[in-house]
Amino acid sequence: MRILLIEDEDFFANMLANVLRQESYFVDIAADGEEGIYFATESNIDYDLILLDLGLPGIDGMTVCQQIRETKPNSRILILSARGRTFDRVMGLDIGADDYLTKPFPLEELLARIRALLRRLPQSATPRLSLGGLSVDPSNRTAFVSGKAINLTSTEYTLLENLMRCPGKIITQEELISKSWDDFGSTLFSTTLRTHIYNLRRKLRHAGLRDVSIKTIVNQGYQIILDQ
Amino acid sequence: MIKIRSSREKQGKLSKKTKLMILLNTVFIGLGFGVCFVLHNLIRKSFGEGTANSLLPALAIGIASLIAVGLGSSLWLGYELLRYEKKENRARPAVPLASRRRVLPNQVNPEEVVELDQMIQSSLEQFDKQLENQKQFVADAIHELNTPAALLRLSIDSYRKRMEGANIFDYVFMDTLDHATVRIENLIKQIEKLDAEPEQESYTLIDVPELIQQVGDMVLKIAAHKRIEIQEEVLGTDELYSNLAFLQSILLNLLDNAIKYSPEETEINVLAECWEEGCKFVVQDQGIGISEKDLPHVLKRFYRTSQSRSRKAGGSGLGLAITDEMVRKLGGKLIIESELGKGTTVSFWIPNLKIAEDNQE
Repeated sequence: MRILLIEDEDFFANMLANVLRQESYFVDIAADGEEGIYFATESNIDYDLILLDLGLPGIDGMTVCQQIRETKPNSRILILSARGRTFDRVMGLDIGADDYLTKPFPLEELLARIRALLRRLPQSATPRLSLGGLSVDPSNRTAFVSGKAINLTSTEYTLLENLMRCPGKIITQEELISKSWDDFGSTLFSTTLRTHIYNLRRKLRHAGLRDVSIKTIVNQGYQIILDQ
Repeated sequence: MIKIRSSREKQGKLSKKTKLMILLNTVFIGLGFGVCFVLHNLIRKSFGEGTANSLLPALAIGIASLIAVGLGSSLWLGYELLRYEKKENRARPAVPLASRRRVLPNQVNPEEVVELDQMIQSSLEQFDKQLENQKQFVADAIHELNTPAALLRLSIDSYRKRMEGANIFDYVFMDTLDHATVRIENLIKQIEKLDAEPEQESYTLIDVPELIQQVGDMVLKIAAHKRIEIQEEVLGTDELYSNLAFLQSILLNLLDNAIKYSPEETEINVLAECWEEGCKFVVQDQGIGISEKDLPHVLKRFYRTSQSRSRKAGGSGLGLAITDEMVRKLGGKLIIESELGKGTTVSFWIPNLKIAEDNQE
């Protein structure tokens, strides 16, 4: 699950992002309204949830909410704000937010509300993805070869799931990186992706997978495909 | 003529001038007689008895003049002393000379009066604006505190989540941090509540028996701890048009206090009596009470009586002040009666705002 956090307070944003990553979410941070709108609407990443702080510099938080709702009507937006009067909460919800939480808030409540919003996602009710003898279960992030669960690291699983979502399609390195790491994989070395793919292939082979393989298409990207 | 009073006079001492006058008067009179006597003798000796006696009228006039001067000075002195005595009891602040100019009625310029009035008006408006600015500044500052408070809360919560296997001291440490943060959060909430207006849209028709029961249920557990019994009674009509949230807060605050300051196995009475015009609520306890000395101050912000254990329990002395403010915001009035060692009775009246609204139409 990928979350976009639009929050200008450095410390708060980083603390929150870390907490969410501990809960196995991917988190991207936008430091102001403009960046937030761009990430939410113009980057080709589909966020499962947007956490929006209202006290933003530049473009006002309410305007950001409105814009995102207008451009991507299916987004899920949770507003975090110190403004807690009834009037503020009503306005936030009417302007397009799906939920509104006032700061300071207990962490557990935020996590529960996030889970509640993500419940409605068709994605979370995703059945397993299968290709040949390989299948993955997104709901608990497990991969199976011929019905038997295999041991993958979190990153390896993420890469596999992202590949499995479009079997046969060639996914570029950049796309794969941005989908499998947060912060747009900004601190990734160029060989990291290759290393992880290598390890993934090795583990799949080791588990006995014969009819499916991950192919490297030179100068284009990666592809998972049913071997003919 | 402007007389400048010296400060010496105000302190009850005579001025130098007055002392001088007394001295001179005495000297004059004495001199007068003395000179007269000497002259008379001299003339008698030099020119014989006859001349001396014929010159007597002249001498007499001379003496008389001198005495007159002496008397005049004494009278003046007396007058001054009298005036001084009258003024002795008046406190006089230092007033600049300019403002001592007295405007006599037939010298008043109507334009000046209008100008003065305008000046006063604009001064008052400036004061109002400044007061408003200050209030807004404080409200904004308090609101700003929410941001660091949120970070504290998030940090503490997230650390505690990962604390499995920590040693006992770490738990105690985190508990301490948590309590301090809770205090900060509560203080911010309380102060914001104090400055907020009850939103007009949030006035509803309240079922009074249900309200009393609800509030009673909420404090049941804490009361049970001390085996305190809460008696509820509702008389009169059932409904009140007012702000439910405020009423709940008010009653909870009062009940909280009643329980806190009541010894074990005592009784607390909650009474609501309603008419068409409004409701009277009473919360009565058999607790430690409030002394006569403290009673007039107990509704003030941050006031803590010596019996108050609040600070240890995490209170801030704002409880009653907020309760009083809330009652006032609803258009009501709160009264406290208490006797040290016997108990406290808090009564407050809340008007039925439906009536007020209807009357306005």
